[in-house]
Amino acid sequence: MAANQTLTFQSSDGVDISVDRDVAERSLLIKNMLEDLGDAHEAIPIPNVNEAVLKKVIEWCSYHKNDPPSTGDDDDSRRKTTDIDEWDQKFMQVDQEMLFEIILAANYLDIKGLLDVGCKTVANMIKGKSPEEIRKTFNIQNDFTPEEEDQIRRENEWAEDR
Amino acid sequence: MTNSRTLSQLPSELLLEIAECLEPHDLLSFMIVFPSLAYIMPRRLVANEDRIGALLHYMANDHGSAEICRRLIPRMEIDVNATPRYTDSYLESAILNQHDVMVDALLARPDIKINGYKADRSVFLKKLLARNDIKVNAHKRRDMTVLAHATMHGYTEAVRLLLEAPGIVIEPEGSTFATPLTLAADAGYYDIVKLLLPLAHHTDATGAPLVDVNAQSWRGKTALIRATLNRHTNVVQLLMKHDQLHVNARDDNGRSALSYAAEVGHLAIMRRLLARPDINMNERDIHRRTPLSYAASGGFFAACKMLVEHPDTEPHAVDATQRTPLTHSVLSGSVKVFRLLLSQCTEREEDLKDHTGRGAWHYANAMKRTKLMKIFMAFKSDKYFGRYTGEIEDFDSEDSEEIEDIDDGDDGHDSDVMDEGED
Repeated sequence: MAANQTLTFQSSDGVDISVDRDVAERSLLIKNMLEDLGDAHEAIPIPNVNEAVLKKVIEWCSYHKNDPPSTGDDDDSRRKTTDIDEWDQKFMQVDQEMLFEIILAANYLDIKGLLDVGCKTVANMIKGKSPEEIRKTFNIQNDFTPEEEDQIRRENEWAEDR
Repeated sequence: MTNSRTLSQLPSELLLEIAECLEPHDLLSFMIVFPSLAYIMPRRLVANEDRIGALLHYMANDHGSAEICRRLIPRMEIDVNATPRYTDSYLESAILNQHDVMVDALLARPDIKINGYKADRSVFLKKLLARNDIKVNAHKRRDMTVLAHATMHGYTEAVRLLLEAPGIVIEPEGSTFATPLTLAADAGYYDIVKLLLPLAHHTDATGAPLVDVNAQSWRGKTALIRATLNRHTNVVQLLMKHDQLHVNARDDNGRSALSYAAEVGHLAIMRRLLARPDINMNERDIHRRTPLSYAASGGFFAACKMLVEHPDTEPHAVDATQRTPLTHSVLSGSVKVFRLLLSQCTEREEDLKDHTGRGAWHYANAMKRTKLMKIFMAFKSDKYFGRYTGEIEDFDSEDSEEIEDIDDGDDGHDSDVMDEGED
């Protein structure tokens, strides 16, 4: 495997973006895909992520490409602290829309570290606020409709840790 | 491009990821905004505690959590009985904060544990008792039921409510803990004793009385003995009015209420006990000591006099060490008690020896109780010359003062211990 092989991602809005393989492999989704399919010679479509968000994600991955790999799902330290390192804090200084897009992209692409930073950023925005202030901060009108609630319950029945 | 994203558009699994980063207090605010999360919030996060408590603790303190209560608490995997380290149970907190939705949700849980703590709050209790499925006999911490707890703390109103509760078991079978009556008698809760006593005439389905007036606990002590030990005269009086009371009931040491009353010289209680025709004046404990033996040991003149004047009393009953009450009076140093008991000696009982071969004289001599020795010698010579009348004379004028109710002994005034300088 070439050390600095370059891949091409195609964003949802049709823009091709070049990315080093070691950067791209911060995404477990991409990493597993490449392992399964071998080398990708064509542009890899990333259907859920637009150019702006994809560029942000790649920026984060580039900075963190030498981070030790995530140890797994149950990272206890994550729950205990909402400290975010300085670079990540600056990186996350984006509008809310971009913040949630990044979280969604990180989730979709399975980039644990970025998802954590995104969630911690939101958690920090929630900290110390009353429910009303949270609603105001995030411009939330209502909770889910009863139908949505039912759906959530059905979808998550299997997940309840009994 | 998708529509403009907001927090509420994140899928629930991502909201849970955010919840992972929140402490219980912030988690509650977050969940109030998204109450549906309560259906899926992992048990681990619900149980997560900060310095003050876990999510349920904060819920109990915040009426805004009603929607969460309705969704979260019915989930059986959520532990609603966890005992928070520094706070009341969740149920108690919810009651205290009048968080009705939470209280109802908690009480709807079949596994909710209701312990006796805070049973004093009759509002709390009324709320619990209003539910017909409530376990009025639930208990934890040794064998103490809610009723026992309320009794022990003297919450009369709570006891009244509990006694009216259908299905209440006043004295649980096999319980190793004291019965409510014993607890109330021990602490001197007159009103509670008064509530409990009439129930001795009522029986449960098996025919057993609801209250056993003579139930024993704590080394076999009955309610009467506990009330006597703690000098609750009014409770003793109340108990003695009950037709089922065994006035001579003995504890594991073989001691009766009279034995204990005599030991502390409690005249008011003794007077009531002695008024009973069935009182056993010479009940011997495991050391074969009688009430008079104990009163003599304590140097309680008035108590001894009261006992001696009772026709059934054996004034010279010897104990396991062969000591008579007279010998014990020498050991106590009480001049008045010594003179009283000496006056009872008609068959040379004053010369009775204990298991070490010593009698009253030997001890008076060994302990340098010169006043007692003088009295003893005078008694002997008077008896020899036929002058002894058996009357009790006042030795010192200050001795004549009668103590009205509590016999606090007379060693302060006429103890022989300190009067060596008189010679």
